[in-house]
Amino acid sequence: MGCFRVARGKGQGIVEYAVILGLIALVVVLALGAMGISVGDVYAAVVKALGGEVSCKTYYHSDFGREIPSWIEIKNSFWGKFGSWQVKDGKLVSPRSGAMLLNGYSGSDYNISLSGIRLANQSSAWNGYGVMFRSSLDAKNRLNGYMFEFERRRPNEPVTMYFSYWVGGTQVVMNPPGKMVIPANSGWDNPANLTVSVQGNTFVASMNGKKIMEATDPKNLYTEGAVGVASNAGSSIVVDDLAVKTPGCEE
Amino acid sequence: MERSPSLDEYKDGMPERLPDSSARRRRAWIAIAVLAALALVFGVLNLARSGAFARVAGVGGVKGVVVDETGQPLPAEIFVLGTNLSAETDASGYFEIQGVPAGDQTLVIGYLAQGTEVPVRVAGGETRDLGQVRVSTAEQRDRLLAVEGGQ
Repeated sequence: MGCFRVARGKGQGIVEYAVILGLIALVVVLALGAMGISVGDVYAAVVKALGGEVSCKTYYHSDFGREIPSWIEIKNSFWGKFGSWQVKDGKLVSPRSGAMLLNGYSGSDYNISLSGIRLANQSSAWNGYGVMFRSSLDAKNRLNGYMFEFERRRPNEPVTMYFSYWVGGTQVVMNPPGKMVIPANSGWDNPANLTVSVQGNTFVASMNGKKIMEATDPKNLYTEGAVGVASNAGSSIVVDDLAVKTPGCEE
Repeated sequence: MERSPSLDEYKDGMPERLPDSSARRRRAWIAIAVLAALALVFGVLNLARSGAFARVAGVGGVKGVVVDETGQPLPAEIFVLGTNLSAETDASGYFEIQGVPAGDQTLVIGYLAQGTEVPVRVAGGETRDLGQVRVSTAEQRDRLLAVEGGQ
């Protein structure tokens, strides 16, 4: 009788420990979810922190020479009034107030890298350009998604940079961090490289390898979408090379 | 974790007291109860963040009048963030949106492609009246001039 009791007790102990482990896992997953953190993001961060191999993949690449991408131009009351995007002398050239989404790639987490950027045809107001991500167009050809942007409203006004989201073609500055002023001579209008890293609900912009801005969207409005480039109303943009890769991958 | 008796404990015959496993089991069940309670709390928090909670809480409405700095009605478009709901103002700046999930919502008042966020708490079965919603328009008008090639 006693032997049977001991055996039953030991068996229950193992079950209890299994239940405890299962509950710990469940509580961790639910706690992360309640804080708006994806388990996949945590896993990726842990792998990265441990120096694990990040599986690098190039989702999209064009040097506008041999490889010319196809794109969808955004034409509505806000964009596309001053001409079309074109590839000229191995470079992507935008019109003033132009916006396009790369055709054929849509994803969730990625690094967008633009090389050899040059602002051109600058008029007296609203110079600047932007990088769109997790973006799509609605039935009225209006943008939904995110954007990182440099902007100078007037030559004598400061240059600002900011992350924004677009809903139904309406742009809302993400605040925090809001608009940040950068020095006019920082090279914003002619950077060798501009990278926007999109991972989970955190977005990081880097210029010439140096991090310049970070934003988080607690609402996690858009979880996937296309990549694109835009020019402001007062200038066009010239780009040498555009690549979309796995986040965390070095060149 | 399990403390099983070893042969050493029996070298002088049967011990007077057998190892007490009930205390260990009691602690295990307390841990299970605490973890289950935590799982319940976080589960409810997750539910509150999801659309499922909104469906349980019901839907309501929101209405208001969009005006500029001088009080003039604006032709604006209003979006309920995170939903497909939107509405345009009429000539008097009035808008009304029904079917808004109950709870804390964010409206985006869009005018000339620039938006202003307005947080709003919507109660199920009720229409929340925001009254006059004032939107600054100087930057939008300035940008419109550039977009239309005026500068």
